[in-house]
Amino acid sequence: MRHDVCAVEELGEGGLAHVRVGERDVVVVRSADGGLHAVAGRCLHQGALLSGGRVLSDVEGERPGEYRLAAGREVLKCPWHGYEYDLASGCALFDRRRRLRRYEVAERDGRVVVEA
Amino acid sequence: MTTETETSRGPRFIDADVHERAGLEDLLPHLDPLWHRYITDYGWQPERLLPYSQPTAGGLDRLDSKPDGVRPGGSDLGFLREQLLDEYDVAAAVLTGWLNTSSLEEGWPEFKTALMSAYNDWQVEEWIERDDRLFGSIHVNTWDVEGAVREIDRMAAHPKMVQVMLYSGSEPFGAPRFHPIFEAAHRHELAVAIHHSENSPTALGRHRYFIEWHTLVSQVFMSQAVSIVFNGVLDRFDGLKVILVEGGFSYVPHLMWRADQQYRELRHEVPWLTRMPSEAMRAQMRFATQPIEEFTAPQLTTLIEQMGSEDLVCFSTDYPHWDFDSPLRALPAALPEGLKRKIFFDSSYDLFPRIAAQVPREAAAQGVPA
Repeated sequence: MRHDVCAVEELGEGGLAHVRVGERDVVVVRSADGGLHAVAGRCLHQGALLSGGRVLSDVEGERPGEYRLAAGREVLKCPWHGYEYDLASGCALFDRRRRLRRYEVAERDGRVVVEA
Repeated sequence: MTTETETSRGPRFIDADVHERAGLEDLLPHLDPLWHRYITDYGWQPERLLPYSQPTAGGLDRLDSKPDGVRPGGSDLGFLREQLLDEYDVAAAVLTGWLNTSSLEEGWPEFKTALMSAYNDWQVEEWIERDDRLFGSIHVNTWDVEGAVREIDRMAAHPKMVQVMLYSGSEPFGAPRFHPIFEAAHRHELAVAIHHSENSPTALGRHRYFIEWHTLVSQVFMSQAVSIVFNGVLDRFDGLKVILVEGGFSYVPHLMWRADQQYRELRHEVPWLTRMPSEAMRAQMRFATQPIEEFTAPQLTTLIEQMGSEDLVCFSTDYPHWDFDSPLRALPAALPEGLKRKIFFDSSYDLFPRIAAQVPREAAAQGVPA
């Protein structure tokens, strides 16, 4: 079943949109490479709507004090306490066993739609 | 009052915190003559930033620990043997010292490094080579990291040196400039011990009264643990063990919970961490018991459960200090036997491979648990 989110042009790079899929909240994200991602829309922590958060590049570093932007790895960050989720997998960055459910998302006839 | 009847019921144990005491003049035979005049002629003394005396019967020490009623506790091997090692049938004791220049203010690093070398040589000659049960700490001056590493490399050759000792002033030791010290300890398979000092402040400085400062001693250990965890010391030196000495351990569950929570929320600030802070702490941090609060058995077992492991806590007396914890009385008698054995013996035995190489594990069974 298709769930309409918004017009394609309404969801630019780094944009977030909220959609209800039945009883569930889903967040749809346009990543920097133009790809679309859809994951469960409430944070696993205290249930904040993730559509109010930010999409950011991940930060990596092996040694204390070393910071680099992780090219191509984008993170969905909760607007409340800052829980971070890998956009591609939905996994929490602090513990990959904790994961947001992923949904199919696509562009159809000029609209962004979630299929579930 | 301790009686012979009492001691005969005690567990055989490893003591993770015993203070031997040198006078500065005792160090002169071990100190490069270049530095003698600063002690003999110019009167150098380590600064003491604590603005109170310790208002107890004997000051810093148990009144009955002073060998002739005047000299400091821990200054006489024979008396320490009598009052601690023999009295309580100690299987092994880790000496943790008196003078550690890491807790002093910055300045004159060359002298302080030389003093640590003298202290270590004195400790070897006067203590650990004179009693099989005594093991040593390599004292270093953290204000001179290069010198500290040289000292660790020099002293690690002695088989009875089991840890590198850092006394805390107000410097958090997890900072990268101190990492070569942890690296050297790791290379020699030595633990790193962090001990508080009279120069360790509380979070709000030193307060009006000694009772306030002493109540808050655990704060400095929380700061050091947080610094070590979030600056990646435990991840960078996998397998290195760090023991926090003389701060108790009841703060540990809170710290684990809070550090994990903060990591979940602020992970991007410390991307070099590879594990949850509590996981790293359980794997690589240990906590000496003294000064233990007066727990009931259910309170203590709950606390241990909250720490998530029975292997993190090492019994310590802090002899000869006034808040000495008796191995016969400090822990609740009704603890499960397995847990008691771990606290009194196994956790330290596993922490210090050099003790394990020289003390048979069966030594723990030679005493009858209280």
